[in-house]
This record gives sequence, C-alpha cells and structure tokens, in this order.
Amino acid sequence: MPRETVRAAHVRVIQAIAMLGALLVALSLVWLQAIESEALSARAQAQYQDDIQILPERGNILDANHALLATATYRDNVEAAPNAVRGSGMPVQAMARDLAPLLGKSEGEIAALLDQPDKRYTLLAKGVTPAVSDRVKELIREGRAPGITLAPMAHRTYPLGMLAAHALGFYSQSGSGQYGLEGYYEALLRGEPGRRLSYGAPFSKETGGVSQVLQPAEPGADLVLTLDSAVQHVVERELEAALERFGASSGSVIVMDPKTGGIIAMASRPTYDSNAYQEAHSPDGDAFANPIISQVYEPGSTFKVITLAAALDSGRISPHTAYYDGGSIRYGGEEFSNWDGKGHGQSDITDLIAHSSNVGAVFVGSQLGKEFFYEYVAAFGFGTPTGVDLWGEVSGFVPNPDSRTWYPSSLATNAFGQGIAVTPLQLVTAVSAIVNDGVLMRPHLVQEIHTPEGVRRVEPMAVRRVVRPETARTLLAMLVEASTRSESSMHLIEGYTVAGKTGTASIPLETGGYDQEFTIASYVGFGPVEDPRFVILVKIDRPTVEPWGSLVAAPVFRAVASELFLYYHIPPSTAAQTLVKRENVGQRQ
Amino acid sequence: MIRILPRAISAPATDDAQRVRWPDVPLTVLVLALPLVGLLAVYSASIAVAYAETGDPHYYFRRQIMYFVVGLAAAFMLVRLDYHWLERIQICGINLTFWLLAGIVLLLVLMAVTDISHVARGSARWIRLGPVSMQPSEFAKPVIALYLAQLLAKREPGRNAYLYFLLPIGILAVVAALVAQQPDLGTALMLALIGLSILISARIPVLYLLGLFATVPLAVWYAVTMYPYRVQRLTAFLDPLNPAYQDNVGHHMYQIFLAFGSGGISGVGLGRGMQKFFYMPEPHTDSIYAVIGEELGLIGTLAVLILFVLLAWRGFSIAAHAPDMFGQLLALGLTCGLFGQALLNMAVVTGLVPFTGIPLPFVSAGGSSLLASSIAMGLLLNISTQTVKAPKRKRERRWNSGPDKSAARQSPRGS
Repeated sequence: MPRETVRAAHVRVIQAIAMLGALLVALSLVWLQAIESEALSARAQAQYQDDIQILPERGNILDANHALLATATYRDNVEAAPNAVRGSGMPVQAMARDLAPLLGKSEGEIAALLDQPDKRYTLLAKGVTPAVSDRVKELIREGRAPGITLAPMAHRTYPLGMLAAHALGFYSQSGSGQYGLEGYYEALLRGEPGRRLSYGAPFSKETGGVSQVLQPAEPGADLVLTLDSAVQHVVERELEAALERFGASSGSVIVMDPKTGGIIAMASRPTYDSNAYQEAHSPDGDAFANPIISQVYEPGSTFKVITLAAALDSGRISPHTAYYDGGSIRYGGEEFSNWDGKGHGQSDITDLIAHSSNVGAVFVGSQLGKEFFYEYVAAFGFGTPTGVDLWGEVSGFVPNPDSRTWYPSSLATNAFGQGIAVTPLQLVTAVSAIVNDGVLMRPHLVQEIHTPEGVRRVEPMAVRRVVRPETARTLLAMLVEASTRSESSMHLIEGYTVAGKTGTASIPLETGGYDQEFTIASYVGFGPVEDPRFVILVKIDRPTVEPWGSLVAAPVFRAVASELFLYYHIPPSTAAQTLVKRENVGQRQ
Repeated sequence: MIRILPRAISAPATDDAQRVRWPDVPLTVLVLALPLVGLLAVYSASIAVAYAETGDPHYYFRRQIMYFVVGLAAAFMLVRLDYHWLERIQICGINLTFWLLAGIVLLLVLMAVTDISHVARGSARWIRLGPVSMQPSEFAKPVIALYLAQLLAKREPGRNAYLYFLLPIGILAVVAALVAQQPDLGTALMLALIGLSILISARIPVLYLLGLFATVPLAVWYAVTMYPYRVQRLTAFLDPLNPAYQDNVGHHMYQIFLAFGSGGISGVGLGRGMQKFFYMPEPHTDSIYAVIGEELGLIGTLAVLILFVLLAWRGFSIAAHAPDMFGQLLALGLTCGLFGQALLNMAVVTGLVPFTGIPLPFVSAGGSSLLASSIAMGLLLNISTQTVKAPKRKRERRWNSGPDKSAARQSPRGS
C-alpha cells in the first residue's frame, strides 16, 4: 500500500528556521547576560535603591509651664499608581465612586487622575485626616482600591486650637513655618533632614524595604516660651467679652513682664485656628498678620507717658511745674483743645495725667523742644522694630523734624500721641522701660531653646537705658497719684495698687484728617506698683457703644490684672503698705 | 451516532514494524522536566504578585501544581490512546476533529459577541468556569493541528488541490481573527504558525504557498495598526534602552533587559531576584524567562533553551518516523506549535521580536497553557509509540520519498 509522506524539503526549511531562531535567542542571551550584563545590572541596582531624605521631626512649641502649643504629627497623602489600577482590571469609575467622597473631590476628578494607564504615580489627596486614612486603609484591605497607597507626611497640630494663633503662626502645607514663631524660628524648628539608602520594591521603598541610614535626621529644637497659656486664655476671654460688650470687631491685648521684656500673653481679634489656617480669611488684607507687631496706630493719650518721661528726664519740667489749662492752647500756629473742651485752671503735671489734658501735653512738648522730644521718642524704640522674635514686625512711623513735611505744630500733635504711628508692642515695650526703672528691654517670646545638645536659655536683653531711674520712679509715683485724682476709676482693683494711662485716639483717614465717628480706645497699665510684675496694653478698635479708653479698655485691664494677682499669688497691699514698699522700690537697684 | 471507521489508511497494528513500543524517552523526560522547571520558576516569580493580588504568596504556585497534575494525567491518557482514533471517530457522519474545532470556534464566537468572557489585563481571553478560568485560544492550538492534519492527510494528490488549500486557509483565518480581536496577537500568531507549518509540509502546490506568503506582510500590517499600542511597542522595540520609553511603552522591555543583565552568567540565585517585585510586569507569566535569566543566569536560560531544542529535535524526529501522513502532519504541527511558541516568547523577551504577550509553554503560570501543552505532548508521545523504525540508511531517505515513487520506495513493511 503506497504511503504518502510530507514534503521533506519544506520540513527541512522549517527545521532550519527553528534552529536559526534558537541560535539567535542564544546569541541574544549571551549579549544580554554576558556582554552587556554589567551595564544593565548597574542600572537595575540603581533603580532598587533610592537615596531618600529622612524628614526631621519639627520642634515643639511649649508655653512657660511646658504645656504643648504646637507639636509635630503625621498625616497621610493618598497616592495612586494608575498603571497598577489598570493592571488590576478594577473599573476606574467604581474606585472613584468609593474614594471621591472620602477625599473631598468629585468623582470625575478622581477618575481622571486614576485613568492615566501610562503613569506610575499620581497624588490624589494631600494630608487627609486620620479618619479618612482609616477608611482608605479599609478599602485597600477589602481589595477595592488596587494601586492606592498612603504615604505619611509631616503635619502640625496645635492642641489649644485658636489660642495664641497670632503668636504661633502656622505650618503650611508646602512644609514651612509661616508667620509668628513658626516663621521666625523656621530654621531652628525645622531641624536638619537626614539621608537613608532604601532598597526594595518600587512602591515600598519610601516606607518599607531594607534601608541603611547614612545620616540621621536632626530633630528641630523645642521652644519654651515666656507666654503662659493660662494668662493667654484669660486675656483672650476678656478681650472677646469687651469686643462684644462695646460693639467692636477688632482689638489687641498684650501682657509683658517689664523686667525681662518677656511677653506673657498676646492676643488679637479677629484671629484664626492654626490647625485650619487655610480657612482663615480677612476682608481687608492679611488674616495671619499679628496686629500687635504688624499694624500701627496713633496711640493718642497713652503716649503722654512717653512725652512726660522725656520732659522729666531732660529736666525741662519737674513734677511741680505748673501751667494754666484754659481748655485750649495755641502752638505752632494751630489751636489744640482738650478732649472734652473743658479747662482745668491752674494745673500741675499730675493733673495733666489725671485729666489726660491735651493742653498740658502741648505745654510740656513746647517746654521740651523738638530735639529732646524726638531723641527720647527714638530712645524708647519708636520708629524702629523692637527686635521681638516674631515674623513680620514693622517699624511704625515717627515724623522727622528735619523733613519738609514737619511743622512746629507737629511737635504739639505728637506730644499727645497723634500724628505718630506705633505698634502696640512698641508702646507696651516703651512703657515697660519706665516701669523697669528706665531700662528698655528687648521684647521676646522664647525663653529656652531645647536642642539635642542641651538647653540654651535666652537671657533678657537690655537694649539701652532710656531715662534715669529717678525719672522713672517719679513718673510712676505721679501715675499712681493721678489715679486717685482721676474722674475715671475703671482700672482700680480693690486691695491692689495699679496705675496706668488711658488713651482715646483719633483714627487718621487715608483721605487726610481724622475719623469723626470712631476712636481707638486703649489703656496701658501695670501692677502691682510696689513691685511691678506686668505691664498690660489693651487696645479696642472702633468701639461703637462707648468711644473712651477709660470706659472701654480700662475694665479689660482691671479684669486681666485681677486674675493675674490671684494667679501669681500676689498678696493685696493696703495704701500704707504701698507707700512703704514704694520707698523700697526707690532703694532697690 | 458515534462511529469508528475501520482502518483505511494505515496498516494494522499487528504489523511487526508498527508494533506499539515505548514512548520516546527524551520526550517523556521533557514532559516532566519542563513543567518542573516551570514550577520552580513560578514559585519564585509569582510570590510578590500573588501576595499583592490575593494575600497568599503561593497562590499561583499552588494552582500551577494542580495544573501540572491534571496536565500529566491528560498526557498519560493520550499516550495510551491511539491517535488514529481521533481521525476515525465520526459523530453524525462528520469527523471528531471537526467537532472539536467547531466547539472551539463556537466558544470564541460567543466570547466575541457576548460578555461571557472575563477581562483581565485589557484582554478578554478567559472564560470563568467556577473557581478556574479557561482560555479557549490555548486549546485551539492542538485542535487546529488535529483538524488540519486529518484534513490534509486524507486529501488525494492532484484532486481538488485548491479546495484543500483554501479550506484550511479559511478556517485558520477565522480562528486566528477571533483570537486576535480579544486582543491576543501572540496566540493568533501561534495558530497561524501551526497551520502554516502543516500546510507547507503537506503536498500543497508550491504556487499556492507562494501566493499565501505574499499576503503575510498585509496581515502583519493590519494586526499591528489595528491597536495603536502595538505601534508604540514597535517604536520602543527599535530603541529599547532609550530613556524616553522607560516609563511608558518601553517600560516592560526595559525592565526585562535589566532582569537578564542582572543575572549575568550564573544568576543572583533562585528566589533572590529583585525584578519580580513590581519592577517588571508579568513576572510569572509572559516575562518568566527573564526571571529565570535573573535568578539562574545565562546557564539557566541556555539550559531552558536546550530543553526546548531537545523537544524540537524529538518532535521533528517523531514526525519523520510517524507511520502515516496524518501522524506526520500532526507531529509537525504540534512540534512547531510548542517550539514555535517557546521561541517566540524567548525572542520577544530577548528583544529580537517586537513585544507581544505570549506565555512560555510549560513554564509560565497558567492552567490552559500548561494543559494544552500537555495534551500536545501526549499526542506526540502516542505518535512516538507507533513510529516506523526504518534501517539507518533508509531513514536517511525517508523525507525524500514522494507519493509518485511511494509504491517503489515507501513500503516499510516490504523491507
């Protein structure tokens, strides 16, 4: 029986092609694995290891009693590998439906991010809350979120919320401190990043894998403040109450230790929450700027303390210098009146303080002369930043007597605190210098810096002596005496001797002239007189119920000071004791 | 309904020369050795992927063991079953091989027009059957070899030559097109290759074959341009180490190259490769040869290549000594299918051929592939039990004998 067979020649061709193919594969393998092996292997090794920055832990901010004001935490970034999403076969729309409500984005947005099959990385959401992190982890565990990973990123938590927000500033999502202490001490708080060589799979190198630390991260320094969160709390509470009572929307209070320049509390309204700084908004300008250092105002009558200090120290007047207060005075071709238009007849300098007489201030200013006046004003620190350790301090504005816009009448205006722009911090620092026997201290918030190497104390720093101790003491005695003569008693605290000066300042308009309707009501005072522990400046902007510093700001001073006496365990003093102790003050130094 | 024809073509088994003997020894070794190499490679290559996908690092390994056992059982049964029966069984008057083919085509058509298919990695190749998925295109390979071999073997020389050319071409075109649209270009290419190897070897007029080859460039152009990603892959193929492609179209190839290169001569050691940890896509399936390259080095890759060359050598030898045209064509088609696919996979991963995803037979993880390959091996082994042991000098001339001279030269029984 004939047997048909296949066509041998053709089969030979097939066999030849097969063997040729095998030979080519073998040659290819030799090329890849023997000849090019080293270069390819080097490339592979390079991709397995990443030189990864180790983020340093940002330093904490603690108050005077070591209560946490700001601390380093972590939040997760939600990331995706779109190519892995595609590889999983999971529909992008279904994943977007799960993730969008968690991440606060629209389904379309998430779907568009996931639907990029050629990409290996995309960021879906930055710094989600721990609750959202947990939900995403659950989705990943259930297999409903293939290709999705969580990567921790540095975050900042302010446990006390809005408390002292302006002093603290905030930590921005871009990874740096902004405003306040966070901005000023950025270099110290940030620490030094380290380096680690990480070896592993593409998506686990950041978090897992095998890694070798080349250089450890150096954590940021912890800052211990002079600020006391208990006092700060009282100050904020009283400030808010006053704003509400007097129908004002903004204001500031600052409490300073006059002996060191340490800031015990500083609060302003409106404010924001450092934890949610993105939500802060201000109708006019910068919501984050601290008004106590970044905004200027015309201080008004509180500035008379400075004028008097200068006049007494230069010897141009004495506490007993007398003048006649007829309700108004002409100086430099202009007429200046008292706030109520009333005259007080034959007066001495203590009466000037008690009645906050503009006529008296102009008289004193005229006695002092422009050289002395501006010299002392500059010596008290006006017109230059105080050098406080906060981000964003401004200089304020003091007229230059040599400039062409200066007129002799400017001296009179400046003498009672108008036509001059100061920051609240400059004013409280200057008054503190008088309380501190005439020595101007640099204001500061940080008293200790804790680094891994140890603790560095920030010593109080005297800027300069502004007035002689006798001048300072004389002026303080006059302020106390004036309190008893004053028609206002809203600052007085039973059993304690306090003193201060009210201010009801006119607000300059951008168009020129002054606002006829609103004032800035302020009070700067200190206590206890025998051994001053604090200087407080209260400033309420545009109160609508009452315009007067004596009625609006002084009660805030009283409320805060009362609490401070209790808080600092300061025993009450009788009038007799006060006098004795005042003598002691005179002998001290 | 089912009827088995009496032996019409080949000689009765009682004949001395065609006495059933032991299956081919090297091929028997290979049917065990290749899947064992595969198990080893899958064990190492799949742990990361399996853990990420299922939480069980041995998920693919476990399944592969199961497929290995099932595949061996299938191969064993087929070794015992005379392959001529496949040709002789008739259902409703039509040959069994036709029904097998019709079943596959029906499945492929259903997959194309309905949504019974299971989509994974952008391709609808699978049908879910309870816990396992099946890939009909894999089984199309042995079935098309069977059908074409029996069709062309029973053809009488000189009669209806064009019919015996156009019918296989038409069937091949339909099946390959159905597979290509899934899309699965690699398997479609393999089906075409199996068909072509049988057509070329059968006594089809040379003129027809030349005409067929003239259409090849057209088919390639169509296949490449039908899906835009293939054009991109082609661009990346021409410049595999270009950084511009490393993160997109050329990513897969680039990472495969790094795997081979990392292995060097002796490899980094079994289980110690890094590329399978999500640097290289598909480490346990299409890229498994690169994992072998990385972990076992040039020694390992050449060893696997030699195993496949051995398979080809035994396969062609069995084809040459098969007792009849059906056996010869079937053995040729199966050998070309197995070796061709191995070669294509290796050529792709070594950068000789533009990228197309295709598993390495016996080695890549995947049940359908392993089972279909085992079936092909079973058939081959059965043919080997019936080979005609011709004297050495006659074996030399074996391929040279033609039908016209067959009466004179070709009668093994007459020697």
